[in-house]
Amino acid sequence: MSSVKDSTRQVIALRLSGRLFGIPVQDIKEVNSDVCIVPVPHAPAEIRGYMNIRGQILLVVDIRGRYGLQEQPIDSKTRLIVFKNTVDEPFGILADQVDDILTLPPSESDSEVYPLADELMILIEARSILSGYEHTIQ
Amino acid sequence: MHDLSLLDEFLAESRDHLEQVERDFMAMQDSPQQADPERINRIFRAVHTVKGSSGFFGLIRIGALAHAMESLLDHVRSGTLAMDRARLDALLAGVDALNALLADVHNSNSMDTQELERQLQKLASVGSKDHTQASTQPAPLSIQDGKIALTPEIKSAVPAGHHLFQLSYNLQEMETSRSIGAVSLIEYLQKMGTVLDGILENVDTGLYYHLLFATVLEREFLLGSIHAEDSAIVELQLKEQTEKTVCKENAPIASSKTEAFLKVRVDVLDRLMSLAGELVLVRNQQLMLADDFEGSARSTLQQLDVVTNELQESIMRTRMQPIGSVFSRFHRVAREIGQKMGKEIQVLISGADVELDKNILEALIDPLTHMVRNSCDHGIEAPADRKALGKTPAGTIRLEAFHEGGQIHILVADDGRGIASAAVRRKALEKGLRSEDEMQAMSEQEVLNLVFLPGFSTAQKVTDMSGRGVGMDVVKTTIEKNGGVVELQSKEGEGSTFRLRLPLTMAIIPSMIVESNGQRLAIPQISLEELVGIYDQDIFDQIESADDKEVYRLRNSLLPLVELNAVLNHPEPFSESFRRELTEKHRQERTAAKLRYTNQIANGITEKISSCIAVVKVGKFRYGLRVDRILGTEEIVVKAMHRSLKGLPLFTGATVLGDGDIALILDVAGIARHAGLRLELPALNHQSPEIESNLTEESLLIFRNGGSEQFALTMQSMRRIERIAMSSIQRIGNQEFYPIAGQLLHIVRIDRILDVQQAPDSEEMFLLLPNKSTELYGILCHQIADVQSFRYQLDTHTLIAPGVRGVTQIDNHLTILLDADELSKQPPKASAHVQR
Repeated sequence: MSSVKDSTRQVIALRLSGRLFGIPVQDIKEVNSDVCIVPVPHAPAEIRGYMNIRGQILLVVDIRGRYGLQEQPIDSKTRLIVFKNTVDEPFGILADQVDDILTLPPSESDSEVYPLADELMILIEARSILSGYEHTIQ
Repeated sequence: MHDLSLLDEFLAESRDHLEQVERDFMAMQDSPQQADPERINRIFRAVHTVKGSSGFFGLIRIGALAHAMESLLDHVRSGTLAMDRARLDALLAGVDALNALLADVHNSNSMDTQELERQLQKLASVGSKDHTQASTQPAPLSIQDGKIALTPEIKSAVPAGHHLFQLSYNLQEMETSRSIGAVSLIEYLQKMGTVLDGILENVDTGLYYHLLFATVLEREFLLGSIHAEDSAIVELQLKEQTEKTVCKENAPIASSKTEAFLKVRVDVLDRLMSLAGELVLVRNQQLMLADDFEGSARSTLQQLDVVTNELQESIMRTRMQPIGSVFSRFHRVAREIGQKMGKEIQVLISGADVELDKNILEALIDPLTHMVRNSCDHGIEAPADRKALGKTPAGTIRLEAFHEGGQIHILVADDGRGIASAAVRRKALEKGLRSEDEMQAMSEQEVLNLVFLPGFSTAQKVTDMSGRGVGMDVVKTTIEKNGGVVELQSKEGEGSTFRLRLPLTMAIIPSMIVESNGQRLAIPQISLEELVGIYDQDIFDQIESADDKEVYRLRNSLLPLVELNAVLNHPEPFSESFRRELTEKHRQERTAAKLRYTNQIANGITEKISSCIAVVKVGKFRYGLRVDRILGTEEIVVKAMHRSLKGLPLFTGATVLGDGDIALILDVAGIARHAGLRLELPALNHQSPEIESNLTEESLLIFRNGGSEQFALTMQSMRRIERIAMSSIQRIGNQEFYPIAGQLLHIVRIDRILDVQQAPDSEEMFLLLPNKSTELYGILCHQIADVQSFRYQLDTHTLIAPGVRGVTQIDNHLTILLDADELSKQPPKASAHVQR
């Protein structure tokens, strides 16, 4: 499918500590509110814990740290972006706010940053979020 | 890398197949042309199996060669080619080459067999070119007057009961007016059926894409759901083909047999299994809400309960595999070792059809192999020695599997020389595994089980058979990791028996839910020995600090203590200095608490203080895990940790509890290691020797009912313990009921059956739900005192009453052991008693 549709890309725009991020729509399963996390002791700092979504246990990751952003407390506005199971084992990332779905014109480069009219959007490659974690735990 | 034992199995199987193939070819040497079709079929199947399994191990040369042989055989089988001398010779050369490839399987991929493959291909193509092509790649579709010409290959690819349609799409029109591309179209169609093939046709009106689509759906259902016009859906007739197949099948029994089995992908089963698990959770959540439901909703819920249970059981069954598939390989193992060592060994198998969860079965292969090798190697004597002992020259190894008490029992028994406990003692002493004093206190049985300690081996000499550095300790850990237990029984001169007990499945495990650090955690019941509550003064008397560790004095033994909070809060493995600090901190805290407590007592305040310890076991090693609270037992569905958290040693998985909260499942061995306990030295465990004879050891639930009497029920007979509010008890006449899971549970008060003190009024009580009772029924009690494993001697004479098994002394308390089964038959009497 991707080979046919890759010409234009649809991304969900979300904000983390004020910063704008984009995630390709095709990687996303759902966006959840009511974020309620059970911490996993000894997990790397970015892994906030587990959350139960309709009986499925989901890993919750906060990617702020890798962009040097300040950690925020979880409140009623916090959203969890849940990725499709084809991306990785069940997991999702936290977002302070989910804005809109944007259609980006085709791009020649694989650049991680996409310039919008008034600000830069960081594109997140869902498959790489959890890569390398197994090695950080002994 | 692939599991070597699997590869071994593949090699062994393939050699077996090729042996048979060679014999079959030899049998047709004299007149190849008149070869028996059944024989050709058998050869074909054998070669096909070799080809299929080779792909699994990535053995491409073996696969390619077997494929070339298979293609040729296929033609002979279907009658399009006759068997002749040249083909037979080439096939035999193929068998030889396969044997050579198997002999050096690790280098087989770099060997060159292409000349032989080409020769086989050539022989397969003489006089029947079309078929050769068909066997390697499907013939391209041809289209006539806008209609796809059906070939037998296409027809045979249509699954039984499916309709075959030709769907014609104008690609340009699709892209422009509906913005559907070819790829997404096919993806969409695949959801409703199977796209078998497709062909592009460029005509004046546009670029057409004709698809062959097989589906169970009728034509009218397709209309409007697949983006195609009425005229663009043409059903293609398959009928004549099906009739032909029916005619060909002259063995209806065989065909019905093949329908009874179906190969299913393991990941699909795993998914089903986890979905069923999730359904169980939803069901549990519903059951928790059941109290709020009205009548009809309640009966629906009961139905959901029943269906969920059955669904789960059925899905679990699909993962069950007969143990015979593992047992059968040991004929060969025994034969090979026997040949090498000049022994005669026969393997007797019983219970081959006992089924085990696939995961458990796979985990069992290595330990079983080790035990069988061990028996062959060390157990069974040489024929001459056996004769001298008056035994049959051939030694026997019995492999048995059977169900008992909700567990699977597996025996590996030999009639060899057995294991002398004196030799074990000597060895353990020699290797410094146990001291003379320690062993003095041990029973024969306990001494025998020392062979499971790491670093133990009774072999006089190391052979290449079992002395491979994998000791019995590995066997034991593997079995225990899978929730099982292994024991060794042996009599010198008569043989040894390994007895394994395993759970039926690992997906759902009973667990104790505890709370620490503000979160709930599950301890699998299998690693839990007992729960201990220490109160008031005992906290200061029975917990002691010794250098860098804390110990708890439990009866006659000293138990190392680990504080779960400290473990959860300290991500680095405990260093010696950290342990020292922690111990000192706890000591000071205890001193302060003791001071406070003594002051309060002095001031007449009697505030209760308590501490909860879960006594857990890692093999024979026990330690105490201090938790904040103990919340009760729950059957949990185990979910593996997320890929990125697999390295955490503290947890084996996670689960969703009945109320939807997530609990992490503790790995007590991992916790012990993290906390720096040395598992291999249970030196702190000075258990006094006990007389085994007429003592029973059982896990008991000890409870009181307000009065001075203490009661006990075996944990085995209990399903669960429910904390209930007395206000929700409902009464009909003299009978009392408690609503639970949408049903009314008959409440039995012990004081209405037995002549014991009456329970005091209390807002909260406990309801003990027996395991097997056919009637819905719970025993009311006032206070749960303890759950632990006891050795006790039952006195059946002092108190004879319905539902009473006898009385016994437990921790200096006279305790009435009740029979839950018996009690569950008492309710009518219970009400009669009230009337009295």
